[in-house]
Amino acid sequence: MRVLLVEDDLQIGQSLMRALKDADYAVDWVRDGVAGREAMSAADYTVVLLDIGLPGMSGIDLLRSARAGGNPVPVLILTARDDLDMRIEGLDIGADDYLLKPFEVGELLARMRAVLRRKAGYAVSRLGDETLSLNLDQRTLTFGDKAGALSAREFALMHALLEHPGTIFSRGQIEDKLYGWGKEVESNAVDVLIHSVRKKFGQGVIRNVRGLGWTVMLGMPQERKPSDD
Amino acid sequence: MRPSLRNNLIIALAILVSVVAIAQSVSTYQLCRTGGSALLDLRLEQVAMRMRGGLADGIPSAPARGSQPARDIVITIRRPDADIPLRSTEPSLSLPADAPAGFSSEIVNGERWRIYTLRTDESVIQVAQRSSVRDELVRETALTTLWPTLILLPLVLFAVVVIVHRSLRRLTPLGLAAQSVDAGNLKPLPVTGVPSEVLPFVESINRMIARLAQLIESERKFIADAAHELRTPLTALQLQADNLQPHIVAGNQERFQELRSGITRSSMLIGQLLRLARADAPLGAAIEPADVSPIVVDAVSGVLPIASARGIDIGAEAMLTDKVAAPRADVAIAVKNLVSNAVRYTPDGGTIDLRMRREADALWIEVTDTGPGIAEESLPRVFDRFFRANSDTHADVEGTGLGLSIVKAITGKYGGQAVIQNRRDGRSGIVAAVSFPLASV
Repeated sequence: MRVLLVEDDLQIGQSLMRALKDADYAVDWVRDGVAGREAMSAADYTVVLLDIGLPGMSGIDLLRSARAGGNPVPVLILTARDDLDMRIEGLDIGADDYLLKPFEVGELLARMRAVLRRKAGYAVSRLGDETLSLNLDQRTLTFGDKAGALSAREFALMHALLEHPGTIFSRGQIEDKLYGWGKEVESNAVDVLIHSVRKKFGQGVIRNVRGLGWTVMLGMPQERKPSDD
Repeated sequence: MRPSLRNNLIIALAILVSVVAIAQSVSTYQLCRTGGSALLDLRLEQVAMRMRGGLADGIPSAPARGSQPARDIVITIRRPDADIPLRSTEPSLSLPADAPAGFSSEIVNGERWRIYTLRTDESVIQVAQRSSVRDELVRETALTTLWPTLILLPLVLFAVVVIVHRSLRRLTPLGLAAQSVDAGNLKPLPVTGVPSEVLPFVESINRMIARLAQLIESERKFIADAAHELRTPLTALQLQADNLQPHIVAGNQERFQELRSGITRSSMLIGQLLRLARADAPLGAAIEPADVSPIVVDAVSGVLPIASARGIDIGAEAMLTDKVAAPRADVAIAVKNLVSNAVRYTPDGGTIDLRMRREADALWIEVTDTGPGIAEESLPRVFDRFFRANSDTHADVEGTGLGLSIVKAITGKYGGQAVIQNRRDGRSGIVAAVSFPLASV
């Protein structure tokens, strides 16, 4: 896998080169926008890591000209600018993801993998992680050590929740996702559905957030995480 | 009352016009009377002159008494030495024979008469007219000269009001344009068609607007540059540490983690400093009203993993659908800071409640926790930069001491408030609340 790194800072560039090489990527590193453009047009890269504040030609301009030239290479922006406008601008002109400096190597590698997966059109047959996962082909749910099949409505509920783990959905939002427009929904339909899923897999599978709605959480089943914030 | 240029102008011009009109009328009236009087005198004199010749013979020697109209001229002719008139148009009136030559005014039969006496060798001709009749004639003529002024004065006054109104109306759009200028809308005022008297004001306001726009832009640029300059070396440090990790022997991993958490803390501090700088910076763009309830939901989602790991029951009690006149990103930072503060200080198994309420023209978002509360004497300082209320009792709790300063700066920027107080319901904990003005619908 060949990665193009466009980064003007010497220390960051060197460290990223090392980290990426350790992760078995082949890395080309250029230090200004013009060289970046030449490299992008000269070779096929799997992914481009792009700094915004570059001498000569800004990362935004570089990305814009690459996209205007029809180059579809996945681009991950690395920037120290966290103002909202900048972020929106970057994504609007065709960046695939956005990573704010400073970041950890682990997170960069994970984001690169995610960008590549998305680009490859990788068909997701599973939602969730090792603690809570929904098998989309077999319509089964695994939570901790319990596994089992779901009814059509239960599957739809878990699918909606697991598409955005950690997001709190209100009753109205869940009803919108599960039932069509104009259908009469019984007031306790969602409660009944959640109750039946909890009965099969335990109380913790769907978490209730008082006054706001329900959510599912990944990566933290029963064991307690040290408070790090 | 505020002085009004328009009213001042109208009043001053109206007084001026009226005074001129009155002075003009009075002088015309006086001149007219004098002129009229002179004309009547001339007539008396001319008539007397005519009587010198044979014309006097036309006057009947004994006309009926009182047959003459009161307004007419009375002519009396007598011999120089005789007392009885030779001829008289009004025998009942005996004009004084000793009246001086030329014009004189005498009282005869209880009335004042104007008399012209012409003495020649063979006769004394006296021509007389009642002073009251003369006065009446003169007054009538003089009064007619006042009519034009009387009609013109209201017309001129009306014209003054209209002209002043019209001239000053040109300032109204300028005032409206100036009113719409704020940090989100820094367009210069229009200069075309502005009267030269007002132009210096408009130009000076425009220069100020340009300076303000420049200031906002340079501050925005400084914060962006600072973010870049501060984060770049930290990024390098973070990556170098990450690269080093596999090579640290197991016995040193714990110390290595301390180094990494030091880096994390520095980047957290830099992030907070930049956020504070941005919150303190003057408003930049126009504000898009923000829907608050998704912000509250997001803030709760953000802390939910930690809260649920620590057995903290976090929830909301009253959710409203109102929008506030502040950008979503800034409201979110304020609410997130309050919620993460609450999570930080609430012991395991505690409770955090979020509540929204409308009060006057503001929407309040309250976060109530079951933490240790804050000593009353520390409350006034909680919004101070780098002040940490529970730093001695909760030294283990991470924090930069900037979170609440950011909250204060953000709410202040949009005309809202931030209030921290201890719970009043007898339980330990604080109620942290922020308000933003409701967006006008």
